[in-house]
Amino acid sequence: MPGWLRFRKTADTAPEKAGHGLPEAVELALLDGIRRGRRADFESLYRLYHPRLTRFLVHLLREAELVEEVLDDTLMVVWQRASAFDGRSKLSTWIFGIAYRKAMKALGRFDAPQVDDEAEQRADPGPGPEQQLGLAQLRERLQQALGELSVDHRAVVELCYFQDMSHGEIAAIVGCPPETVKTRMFYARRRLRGLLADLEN
Amino acid sequence: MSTVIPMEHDEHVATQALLPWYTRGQLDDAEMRQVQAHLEHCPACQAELAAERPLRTLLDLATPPAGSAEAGIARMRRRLSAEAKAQPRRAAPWMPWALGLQGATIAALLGVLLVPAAPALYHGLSAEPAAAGIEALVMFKPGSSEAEVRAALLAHGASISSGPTESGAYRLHLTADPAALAALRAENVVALAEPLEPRK
Repeated sequence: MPGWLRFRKTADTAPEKAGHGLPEAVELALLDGIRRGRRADFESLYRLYHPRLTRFLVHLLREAELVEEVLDDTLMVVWQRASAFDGRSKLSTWIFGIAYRKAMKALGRFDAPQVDDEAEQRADPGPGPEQQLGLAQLRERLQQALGELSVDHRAVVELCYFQDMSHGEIAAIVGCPPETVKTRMFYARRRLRGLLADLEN
Repeated sequence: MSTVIPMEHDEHVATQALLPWYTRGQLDDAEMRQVQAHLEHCPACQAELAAERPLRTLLDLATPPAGSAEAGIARMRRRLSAEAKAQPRRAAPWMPWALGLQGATIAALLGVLLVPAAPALYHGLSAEPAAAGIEALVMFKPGSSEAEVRAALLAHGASISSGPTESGAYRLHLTADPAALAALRAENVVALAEPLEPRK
């Protein structure tokens, strides 16, 4: 295993507590049930990962139908290959790694970068019936800004800002050295920072 | 920034690249010190640090809320059933063995849990009318909070008849609806939920 796949220590002195509530032990208990063919445990894990993976895949794929398909395919792999998880990373790192590879495959992107020409036209379904006009417009601009980033850059932003993953974990998920993750973060962040500055004016 | 030394630019880049993880406390000691040392004397990067929170808020807004997982669960159920039907031999070779083992484990657990604890479990229960509803043996996952357990019990109309046993199992009383037990079993906090035969 290359050195960069090994995770760096996470500082205990977290100014903001990272994580998604449920302890790793609970997820591992569910995985154990899945290994024994317990569908109820599989469904619990599905419920647990549905919001996280949806969010990740929405940013990566930007296509509702693809999101559903990749999400289901990812968890199907977890169901079928639960015993392949060797416990050397967090379960979430393993699952997000599967999702990332499935997403890349779905985008047919291992050779050519995906350009999203329709991002501007696509209307966001929006969160609710209340007056969402301002929010909808804001989202549109954000989606546009995110759409200008490459899918690799979006993945890094998403995994850090929304999934609270360290650069080591992200490197393991997307399969590149942590230095590359940091570089992508710098450029992605600078782009989004420009948008923030625009909005503030 | 007129007094730029050769490394200066790289230092800004290196610092800004790490800021999102810095604010989350996810850097190792060396990186943490590196960022802190740079921030101390760099107003530009301090401004970038101050932008982290609004940036996160902004990104939060970019995401439409995820829908319910239940439609996905229904899709997966269909998929698993279709798969099981189409290719009955598709199941992993260890599956029958594992299922057998699971059954044996549950049986053994029930034995272990119930037999030694029986006097305690059944103490005081004889007077209770066990007519409407079913009894089940339930274990919660380690680390489950009282609030989570309470929520799970309330959600499925379950109440604790007795327990915990030494092994941490509870005897629950549920409504006669067989779906209630299945639903309770599907709860994240529930490690095991098996119906108990009514006493004869």
